[in-house]
Amino acid sequence: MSFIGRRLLRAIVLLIGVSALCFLFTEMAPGSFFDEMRLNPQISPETILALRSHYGLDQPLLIRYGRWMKSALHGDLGYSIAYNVPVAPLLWSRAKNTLLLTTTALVLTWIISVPLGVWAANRRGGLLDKLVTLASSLLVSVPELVIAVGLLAIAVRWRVFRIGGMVSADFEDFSTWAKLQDIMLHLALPALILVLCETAVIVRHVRASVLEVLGAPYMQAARGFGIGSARLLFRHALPVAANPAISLLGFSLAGLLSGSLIVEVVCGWPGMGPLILEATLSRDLYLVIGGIMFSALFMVGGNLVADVMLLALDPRIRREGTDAN
Amino acid sequence: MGSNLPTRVPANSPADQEPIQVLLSVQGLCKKYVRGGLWRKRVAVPAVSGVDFEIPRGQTLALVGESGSGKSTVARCVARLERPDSGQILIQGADIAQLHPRELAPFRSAIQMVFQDAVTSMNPRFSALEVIEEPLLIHRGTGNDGSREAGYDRKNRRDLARALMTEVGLSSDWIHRSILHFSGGQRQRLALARALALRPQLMVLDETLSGLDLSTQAQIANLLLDLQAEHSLTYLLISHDLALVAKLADVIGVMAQGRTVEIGPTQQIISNPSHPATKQLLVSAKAAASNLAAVTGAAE
Amino acid sequence: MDGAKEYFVSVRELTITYSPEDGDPVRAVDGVSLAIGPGEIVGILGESGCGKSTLASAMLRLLPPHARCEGGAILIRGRDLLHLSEKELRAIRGREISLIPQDPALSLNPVMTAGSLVGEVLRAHFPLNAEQRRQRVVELLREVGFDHPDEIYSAYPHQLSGGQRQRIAIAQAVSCRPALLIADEPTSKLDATLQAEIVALLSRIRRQHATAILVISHDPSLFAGFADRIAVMYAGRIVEVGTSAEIFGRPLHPYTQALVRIAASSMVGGAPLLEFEKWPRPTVDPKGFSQLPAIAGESPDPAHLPIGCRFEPRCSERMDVCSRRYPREFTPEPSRPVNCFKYGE
Repeated sequence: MSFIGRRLLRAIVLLIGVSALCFLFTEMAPGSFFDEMRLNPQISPETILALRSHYGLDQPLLIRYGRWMKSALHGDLGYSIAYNVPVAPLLWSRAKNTLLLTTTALVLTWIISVPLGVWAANRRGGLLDKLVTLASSLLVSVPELVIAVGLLAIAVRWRVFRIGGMVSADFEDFSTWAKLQDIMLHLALPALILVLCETAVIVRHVRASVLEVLGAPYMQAARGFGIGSARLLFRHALPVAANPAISLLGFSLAGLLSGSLIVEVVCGWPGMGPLILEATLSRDLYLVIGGIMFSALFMVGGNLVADVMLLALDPRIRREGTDAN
Repeated sequence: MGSNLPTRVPANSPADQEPIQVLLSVQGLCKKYVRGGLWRKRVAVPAVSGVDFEIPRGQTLALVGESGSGKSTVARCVARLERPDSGQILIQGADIAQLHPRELAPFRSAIQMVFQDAVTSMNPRFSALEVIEEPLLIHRGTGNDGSREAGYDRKNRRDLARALMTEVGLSSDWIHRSILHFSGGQRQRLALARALALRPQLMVLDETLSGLDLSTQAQIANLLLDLQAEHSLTYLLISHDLALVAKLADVIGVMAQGRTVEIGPTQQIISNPSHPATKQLLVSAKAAASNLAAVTGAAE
Repeated sequence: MDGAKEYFVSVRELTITYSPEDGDPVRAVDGVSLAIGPGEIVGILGESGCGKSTLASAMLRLLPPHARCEGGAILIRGRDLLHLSEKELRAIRGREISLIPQDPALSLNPVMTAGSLVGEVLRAHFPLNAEQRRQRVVELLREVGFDHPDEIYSAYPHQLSGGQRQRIAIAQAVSCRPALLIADEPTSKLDATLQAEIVALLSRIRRQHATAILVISHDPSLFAGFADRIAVMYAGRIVEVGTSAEIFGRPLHPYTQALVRIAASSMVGGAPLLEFEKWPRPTVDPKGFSQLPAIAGESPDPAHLPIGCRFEPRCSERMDVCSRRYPREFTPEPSRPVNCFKYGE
């Protein structure tokens, strides 16, 4: 089986495993959606039983799992009790917003981190290197929540960004261009928070791996042959340093749906984060499971993309089965 | 041939006094390395496919061959760092080839391995004392009588470590010195001290002399000879260098493509090789020698 | 050294000091002078720590940041490398002087093919287009002994054996036809069987292109039949120089004598070397079991070098004067400088 085929198969098995675990854990967790209702004297126990049966919550675990699988293959992923709609479309409408935010942040993060990390490593000990190290250390030490709330406070005070949600109240009345502007301005603050937090981490890794490569014996040998420093950096060093960076990119991609919960909640961005949080608190079973599956899908997908990229770019992995030695 | 080479067997060797018994006997050893598994195509690389040899107690057998001939794999199997797929490894009659780790414990102290790269076979954060006492700590309660008790008492361990360091030619004052401050040759000596801590009977020396300077090599070679005479050790020496090995070995086994293709006493292998692989190894050894002879002869 | 003759490559009183953060400054190379004629093969014989690799790196002006060349000169065709700018040095590296690094397993970029690796060196010095470069690389691969250069061209280092990797490194080094090749321990990390092949290759290169070669090794047998002249280095200084025949046939310095004796004892199937019996034996282990020629002790700590002869603690022929003063250069035979009090005061 080809490399990609094998990885895909592994991905599918993984997803099935995740779903099984999800069911198991939610089964073990105390409480159900109807606990609140039970406390309400106006709703009779029979109604609750009927509701439970309606949503299939009185069935044994395996049957529920089976039904859910069928529903998943249909594209529904079960039903949300709170919203009374199929899970998948509901999740997707929110996931789009999350992806807009996280993808923007991802692109910006990497556009900033890679050149910065490479430059810092190349001029090790220089002013830029020291600044980068200091700034990234600071940002890494401060929890994301603190940065988020802090920037939010500054933004409110200085009225630079449009805050709260994804669109303004009179969004529908805007022209197309104005609509775009509106979204971008709302996007700016949460994206900024994400970029700050992620860049701090990525730039350090990029710097470290470039440094390691620059000190390798084969770089010294190449220098000994009179190859110029620009060429040494871009043609000789970076391709080797790319390997760990690509793995890191895989992690970044994997976290596209799951990494922005705090920011979304703090800034009121209507993404998956607040939805899943709410669903978890209210025990909206299938919504929670569906949310986890979505995240898992991205996790697996992100890693798969990274694996494929590594396969294409690193000859050592590509030729694994055909070595002379 | 080579009458300028001194005789190898020291005066009071056990060979004079007792009937020769075989310490290690390897028969039909086979090992494949399998890559892949559930997600990848299984590729089996046969590293060793049929190795037989015997080493009498107190003697040195050298396995020589090019890189990839399987000799390191044989070493690792004999020391049971790996489990062979098939074959027998008889130590004093007991077959350890397929034993479980638990059953292997009493044999571990009888067989010790010394690696080529002393740098990577030691924890760089350790001091000399910690390096030497590690096997003592691990084998407390198992192993030979000497090591069983030695492992329990800290003072005992320290004294033993000092004695071992002196024996291998290191100053016992360095017992607390970090191994980072030891040179390559010194670390190799320390590795030997560590191997001796459990009073083994068999030492597997995997390319132990490769990568050392000529003068250091000579010193360590002498040390090995001394230790062998002193403790009646038996050596399995692995090397790619036939010329080096000829100085130390009683018996030479030539390996090619995972098999022992020729085995015999050193003199015989050197002066009368039969297998092409042996001849190939000799060609390079002799080339250096004849260059040397030519160049020294020219000066007269 | 023969200062009068105008040599092609000449190192004069070169001193290189390392200044580590923790510890005293260390003189890795201490007033070394060496001369190499065009097309000559000169060997530097010495053990690890004697400064030979530092010397090799210095010839390319590629020392680590905390090392400095103090005093002396490195002249190639009259130009002093110690006074050239980085740009001028880059033009010389790979083009006039090339270094073949010690460990072929580590000195080749793992994500570049053999063809690219050699091509990069050409690219740095010659304005060829891609096709011309490719042709040239294939020629070079054939020249260093590959029967199927096209296959090797697209192979990656991890697919090649140790000997093949060393050939690639040699191909890189000779690609621009440098006047001087520096081979740093060319066979130490390879199987013993490959030594003869690599030596033959380097000899052929010298013969065909009149390339001078500076070979560095701890093993005398590498130089036999290969090097024209040999300089013996110990603890940062040159202690003896002579032709290959002289060094092996009539070594003067006790250290050289001991090394040659050790090398001779490894001889397999060679004729016994009777003349060894005439030389004093090196110090033997007090226990008396030791039976192979060896030199007792270790080379001195470079941070704490003695005032007198640096080999004196290990020398079997030491005299009082040896620990009091450093032996100056004596010439018991013409063109045979040796720093040992056996040959004078």
